[in-house]
Amino acid sequence: MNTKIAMMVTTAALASLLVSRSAAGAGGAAPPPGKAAAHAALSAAADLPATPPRLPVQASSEARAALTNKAFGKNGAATRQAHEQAEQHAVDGAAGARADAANRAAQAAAAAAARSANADDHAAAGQARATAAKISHGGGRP
Amino acid sequence: MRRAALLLALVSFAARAEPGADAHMLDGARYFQAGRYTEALVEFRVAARLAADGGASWYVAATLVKLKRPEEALEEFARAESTAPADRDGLFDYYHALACYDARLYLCADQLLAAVGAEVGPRIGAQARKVRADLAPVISAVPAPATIDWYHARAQAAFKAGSMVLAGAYLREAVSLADLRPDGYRRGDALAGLARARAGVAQAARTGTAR
Repeated sequence: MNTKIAMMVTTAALASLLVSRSAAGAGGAAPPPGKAAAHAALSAAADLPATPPRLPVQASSEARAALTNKAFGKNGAATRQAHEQAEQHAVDGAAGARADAANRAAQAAAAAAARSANADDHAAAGQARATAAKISHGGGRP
Repeated sequence: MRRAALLLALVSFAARAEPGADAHMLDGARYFQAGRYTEALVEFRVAARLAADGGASWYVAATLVKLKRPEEALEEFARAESTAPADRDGLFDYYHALACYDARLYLCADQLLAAVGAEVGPRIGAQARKVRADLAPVISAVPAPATIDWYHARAQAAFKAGSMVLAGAYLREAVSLADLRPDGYRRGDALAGLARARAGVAQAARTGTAR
């Protein structure tokens, strides 16, 4: 079942991706692939409520005070603050990690380019030496 | 399974060419698909921070629904509607309805589900109809005063916590429920509170501190 859902999601995402690529090529405004994949994941996971609907009833003043504290009061505020702090930390970390990875990739690419440039210099120098040797030995012409 | 992995790898490969925010959207999608909603929330929040259009807020809100944090989801849906209204669609309305349902805002849920059209597909469309059928007897019965009091109490608590969006949501429900009663129980209170909540939302929008 999970495999089937995974197939559906990835197929939908791939289809969206292909459509977005072709639409972008044609000047259209299709969603980017990440957003398309997220939309497909939301669609696959949309389920029914877990409990039947039941209208609430205002309780006694003691119960009301407890409910208020739980929802928005000390407990609710503390829980929410904890959620927000943990998430903020994770968001900062995730954004930073990706920036680090991008920096590392950029550094690696720069190093590769430098190595490539050095190799080209070496090759060019070798070629120049060979050409000079041919000329000095009376060659150099095809 | 191997085919699914291959397809996902293809999507991942193609998406890597996209800049920052969308890469986080893709990671969020992967976590969401795997049922790892806490991680998905982090990725979608990073995407929302990096993106210029605010569209990621819709996904943040839907993930909060999955995490059973309906009141935060309602605030995030309000943010998404103000920052990226063009991205709204039937699927987001379905998740928004679930947030209302979980917060016991049943009239709000029913209204959103009524607007869910065929674009969500047959499965979600059938689910929307099923939820509406379950809600029908609950939202058509005359509510007890103690029920309406509950919504007022929630609204007052939301005001105290500084959440004008939530206060407004609970008071809209209180107005609709009062309309179901011949005596319009506390309708005037609800309307006055709703005006206060709307003024608070408008002020927050002006100062950029929407909540």
